[in-house]
Amino acid sequence: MAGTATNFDTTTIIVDRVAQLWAGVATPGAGGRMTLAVDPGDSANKTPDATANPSAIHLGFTREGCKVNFASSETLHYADEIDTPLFSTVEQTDASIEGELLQIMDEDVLQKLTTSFGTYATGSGYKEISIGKKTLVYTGVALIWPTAQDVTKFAVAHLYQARNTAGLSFSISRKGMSGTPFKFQGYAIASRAAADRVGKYWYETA
Amino acid sequence: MTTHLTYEQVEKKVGKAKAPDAWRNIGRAGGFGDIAPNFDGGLSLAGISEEAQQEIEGILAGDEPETVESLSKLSRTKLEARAKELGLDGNTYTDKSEIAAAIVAKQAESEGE
Repeated sequence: MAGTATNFDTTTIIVDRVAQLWAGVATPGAGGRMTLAVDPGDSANKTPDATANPSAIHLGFTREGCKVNFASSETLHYADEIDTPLFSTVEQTDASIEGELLQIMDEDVLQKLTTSFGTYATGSGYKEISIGKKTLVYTGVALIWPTAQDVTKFAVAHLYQARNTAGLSFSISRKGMSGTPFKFQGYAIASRAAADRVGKYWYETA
Repeated sequence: MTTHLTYEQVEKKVGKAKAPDAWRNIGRAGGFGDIAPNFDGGLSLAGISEEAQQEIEGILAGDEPETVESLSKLSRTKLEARAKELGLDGNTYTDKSEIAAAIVAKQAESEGE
């Protein structure tokens, strides 16, 4: 007889890693993953491949990093005769990436945050986001960070089709630093394989 | 073959009128699903199968009618799916060229109506 091995593995814990939040990334085909490439400005970093993701925009600094949420809500079904559930049905599955972005005067960032109501324009001596009704625009969002096991390998949380549902909300003050909360909500891509409709969390191993 | 496609590029290739259908067909051919036309990231064609790439090229070429020969290059699964869209049962045919011929005949019949 032998015991079963434990699984205390610190290399699978993420600590002290800087993640980059990207919008405008391309959607991969069935079974695919977004293509990463070495950052032209930092050979130790990887970013979305510029050829496969020509519209990708880095959203810059955040106040306290980003939070990735993949969750489902369930309904438990009980019988009167037993006090524990007999069945469960998944009612909803949600995926989102949220946090607080700091660069509120960056027009690229603003365009990704205001896709529900903002229209960007620029002219001689100004840049603007006019606020009003517009056609919704969806964007691909990816959070990319180096893994704990090997900083040359990267992990990705990717929402194929998302929108910021937290609007644009910021304070201007003498003591505080600007920032606007964001929440990129993932939306299903109908007719894609059911298990792969919203996004993917994956990491490089080789 | 391009490695990235946007709705605007598809519109330029096939024209505004055909773009919605072409975009949907490209989404299905590459396994991307029905991507909203108002999606700013485009489609990454890196890593999709050669067969899917050929199918996408065909869709972008636009004006070439499908033939038994061109359809026969598709997998049986895809042919059966196409047949099903036209109300045909692909399972009843023994080989791919028979399904392809039935699809072409059905399309010609629909165009004639």
